[in-house]
Amino acid sequence: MTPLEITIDVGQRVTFVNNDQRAHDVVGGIDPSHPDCPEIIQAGFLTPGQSRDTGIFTSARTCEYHDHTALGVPAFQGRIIIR
Amino acid sequence: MTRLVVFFLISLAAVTPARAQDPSPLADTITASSGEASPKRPSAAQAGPPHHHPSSDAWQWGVEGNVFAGYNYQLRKFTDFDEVESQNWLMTSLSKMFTGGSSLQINGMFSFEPFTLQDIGSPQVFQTGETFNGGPLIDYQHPHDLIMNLGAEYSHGFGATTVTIAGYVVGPAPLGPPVFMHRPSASENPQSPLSHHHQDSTHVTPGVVSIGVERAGFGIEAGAFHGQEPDEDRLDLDTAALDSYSVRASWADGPWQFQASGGHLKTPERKSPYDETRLTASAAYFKGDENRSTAWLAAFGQNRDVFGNLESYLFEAQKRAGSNAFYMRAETAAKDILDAGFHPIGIKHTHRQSQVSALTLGYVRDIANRSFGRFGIGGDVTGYLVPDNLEESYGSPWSFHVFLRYHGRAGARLDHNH
Repeated sequence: MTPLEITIDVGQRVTFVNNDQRAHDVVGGIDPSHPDCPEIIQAGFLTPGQSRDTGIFTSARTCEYHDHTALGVPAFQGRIIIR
Repeated sequence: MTRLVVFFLISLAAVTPARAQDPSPLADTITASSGEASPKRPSAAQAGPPHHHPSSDAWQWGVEGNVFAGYNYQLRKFTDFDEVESQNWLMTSLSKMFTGGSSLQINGMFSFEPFTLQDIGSPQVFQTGETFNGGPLIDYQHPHDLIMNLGAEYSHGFGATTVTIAGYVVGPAPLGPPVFMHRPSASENPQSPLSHHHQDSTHVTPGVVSIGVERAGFGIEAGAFHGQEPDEDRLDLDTAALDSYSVRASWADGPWQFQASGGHLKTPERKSPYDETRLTASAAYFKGDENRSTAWLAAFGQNRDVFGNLESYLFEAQKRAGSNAFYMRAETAAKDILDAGFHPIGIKHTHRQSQVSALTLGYVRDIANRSFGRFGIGGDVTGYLVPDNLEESYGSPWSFHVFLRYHGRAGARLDHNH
């Protein structure tokens, strides 16, 4: 994922765009055992070429996220910093 | 494209020499894609690598190859996919009949798809099963392993009853209908069924031992095997413990074949630590010969695991009239595409199911029929019914294939007394 880390302001969304040749599934939390930041799962399942926004982040915090189809792969784990 | 041309030449070289010794009675004993049941063959052999049935006390060998090489176009909602690729498989056997009603058959089945498909596989919307780079494959049919089958079967007749024991380093578990590669109802169709991993995916199983008993067309088989799907290294032989089991009952009568089977698969999916139960049933019909035939198959498959039950239903048919062959496949399969992915132990939840359906219509015209095989050109189109929960991501996809098809078979006795 590029970038792996992004900083946004409270009240903003993040748009995920799948430029890969296969599907990905964006989920909040560092892994499935630690679900977090429910705004992220609104981006969810993306087929190649598809894009979708997260929900609006309404409080300042740091949200980890992962790709449910590529668990444990550092290239598919990221962070959203809301300030 | 170059790799496809090279592959065609390799295939022809492998099959052509057999005809140097023909005509041979073996030509009539090779039933690799006819699906016909041999009256003296236990049902265990019908769904495995078919090859030929020993009919003499001399060693006999046989080969049969099927090659599709063509253009695959996938019309998708956001990004279309297209690929020049080849699906292919080569079956080989060596067999001998002994005095006293025993026979031995050594089988090998190979595919060059690791070299003729992308590493991720052939683009096929809604196809699932196995992994790529550690993640679940979605919308791709994985390449098959270079060595798909390697093993032997020994049969012995006790009056009207035949007992067969089989052992494979990699081979078919006694579970499910005959794999699509061996079905006369699917022999002209280059695509794998979307229900492949609900019904007949255990045709490439690392480690299989089985025993079968057949009498008057009725058969019962039981087997132990390694339940996990092949790994992503398509060139190696996977070896592991026999941790899964299955039972299959079958009945063959004239053009009809029926089977019902069930199995317990130990962690079949590498992305999931949970076991699975698979139940299948099928009815198949084949009548005719190489020039004029009718074949169809109806099949049901269900995978049961902690995430829910996924069912599939399939009907496919093929009609050959001289140089023309028409084929179709209609199927519907429940997929957990929206929740695919690795689940650590302890993370259990019901998966969201997506009931995807597909209808394929295809046609192949033979353009050359030579002693070493039959060449054809064909194409098909597939339309899909997309469930509501996949509508946003998939819209209304279509798939198209245009291809050259080669099918050849050969065999001979190895003695020199005729």
